[in-house]
Amino acid sequence: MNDKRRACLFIQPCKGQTERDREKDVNDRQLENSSANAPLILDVVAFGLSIVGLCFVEFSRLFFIPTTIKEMSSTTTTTTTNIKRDDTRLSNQIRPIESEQALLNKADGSAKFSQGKSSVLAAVYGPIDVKTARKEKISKSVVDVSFTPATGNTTYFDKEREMLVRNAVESIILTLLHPRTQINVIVQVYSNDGSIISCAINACCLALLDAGIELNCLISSITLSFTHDNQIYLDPTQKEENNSKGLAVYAINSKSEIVMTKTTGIIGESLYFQGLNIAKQSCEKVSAYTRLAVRNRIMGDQTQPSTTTTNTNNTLVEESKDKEMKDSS
Amino acid sequence: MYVLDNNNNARRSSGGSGRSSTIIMLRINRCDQQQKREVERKKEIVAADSVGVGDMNTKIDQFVVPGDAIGQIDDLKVRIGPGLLQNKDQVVASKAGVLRFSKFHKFYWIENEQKRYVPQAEDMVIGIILEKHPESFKVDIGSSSPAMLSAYSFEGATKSNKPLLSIGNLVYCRVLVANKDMEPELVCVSIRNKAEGFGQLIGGYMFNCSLGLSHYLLSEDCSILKIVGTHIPYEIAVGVNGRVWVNSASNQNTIITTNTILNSQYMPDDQIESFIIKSLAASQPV
Repeated sequence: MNDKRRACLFIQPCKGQTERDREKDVNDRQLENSSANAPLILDVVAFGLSIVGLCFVEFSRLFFIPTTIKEMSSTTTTTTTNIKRDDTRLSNQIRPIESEQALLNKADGSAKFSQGKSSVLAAVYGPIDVKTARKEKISKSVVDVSFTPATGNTTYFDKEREMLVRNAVESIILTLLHPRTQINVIVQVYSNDGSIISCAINACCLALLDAGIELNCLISSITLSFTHDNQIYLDPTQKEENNSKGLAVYAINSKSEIVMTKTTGIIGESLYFQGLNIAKQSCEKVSAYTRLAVRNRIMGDQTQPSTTTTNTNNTLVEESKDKEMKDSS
Repeated sequence: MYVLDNNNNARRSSGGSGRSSTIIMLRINRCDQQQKREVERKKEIVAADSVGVGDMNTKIDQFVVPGDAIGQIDDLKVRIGPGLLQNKDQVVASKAGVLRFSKFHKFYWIENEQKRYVPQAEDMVIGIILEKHPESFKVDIGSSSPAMLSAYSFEGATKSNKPLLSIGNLVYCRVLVANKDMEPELVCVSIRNKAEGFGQLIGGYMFNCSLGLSHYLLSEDCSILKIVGTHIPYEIAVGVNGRVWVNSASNQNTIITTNTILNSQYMPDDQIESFIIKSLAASQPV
């Protein structure tokens, strides 16, 4: 049944480019073949996107197109786990998470969040006066995110990441409680070793909790990479991202609603939904970690952060450490 | 226009009776559905109560994060404070922290270590004068927008006898109006129109701390201030906006008091005394 369901085009390919035209033709043919099932998927996906309020698709790489029917059928035989990755992880393992809160004195809330060698510092200032009157909103507070890379100037890639983080983070802040104010979130990348957007969103959540800003719920994010042999790698490193066929970033809140998804590259539809299930499970784990980290900061280190090492399908190995800044400050 | 005939059938006043009756039927159906829904909702609430979700007391002194359901309001006299939101008859946390409950006031709130102050009426705060106007002052109290302090809201102030405050001075004041849509208003008199400690803070030293610490310093079970008082005579003004002002006979003693208060968060009460004695000994000239 899954094979018959076809993903649909969201954007019309640019004219005058043969490759895309060809892809469109393929897609149109597939649509005709399975016209009965197609609207259902459109609805599902459109629903997800409408929640997000963010329809982000890279024009250079079409989103969600099954390239050939052969490939679609091959996607069903995926997620045979226990394939070792370069860093001896399994495909369903995330890197060790480490976090640190309230490490900045001046900021209202700050947190450092690292997944393996990717590490990000987020600082929250607010609610403060709106600096530029043009941005001011009468009914709610403005959430301003600035994303600074580890080295070099901010490029348009960083602007894109900034927008993704802002959309994800704004959805959990109760902005209506502080009208005509601004909440500044500053994201500084320490080191980038893949899944940097997820790392930034997780850091922002921790920093917002530290700042005591009123939130709806928690948010957590995870990146998946889809390899050429149809493996799904959780929490990819930079090298795995570069070698992958497609990438998907999911941000899911603690009510397990999808807040943001962003995909690049070519991903089959069944793979995408498989990835979504994996992402939901791993986001729960990340949320649980965030909860534990904040609890340890506020109530003291009562329980040692758990180290789960279950290797069944779709579970994660999580080695969590939490450094306390209390003594040093 | 529809009318009901003798057989209780709806009929359009200008013909077309068949269609109009169906419309009425639709309306009736909708009413039925609404009633059914309400009944179902009530059943759900009853079910939730019997399970024990309705009891808010189970989560007192426990750690909560945003989105956690605290319980249901079954007693209308319950008051919910900072960090808690009401969603229909359910109470949901909106901050990470420890749920606290005051039996005397029937008051629930979330205690956390935040730094940013959000004004509340009747809070005692320490402000810094930002601007001077003929009849008022702009005061920074750490909130998102500066607060307004009328020059006539000091004890004994008249049009010819205004307080002499300049930019950068500290004032200990009370929040009179706090509204999310308006700038906060301050007064430097108590409810009885007397100064009673409010007004300008002269000399001394002001430092910032978390809101949690400032609330703790004002609470009854705070022993730090008493312990410090047995060794050093000092004056203190605690603003719930995370600002504390300390004054004593010498600068050394002021600094020791400040350090003791700031470090008290990270050490048990029985270590505080030895900390003060050690720092007093270190400050003595050899």
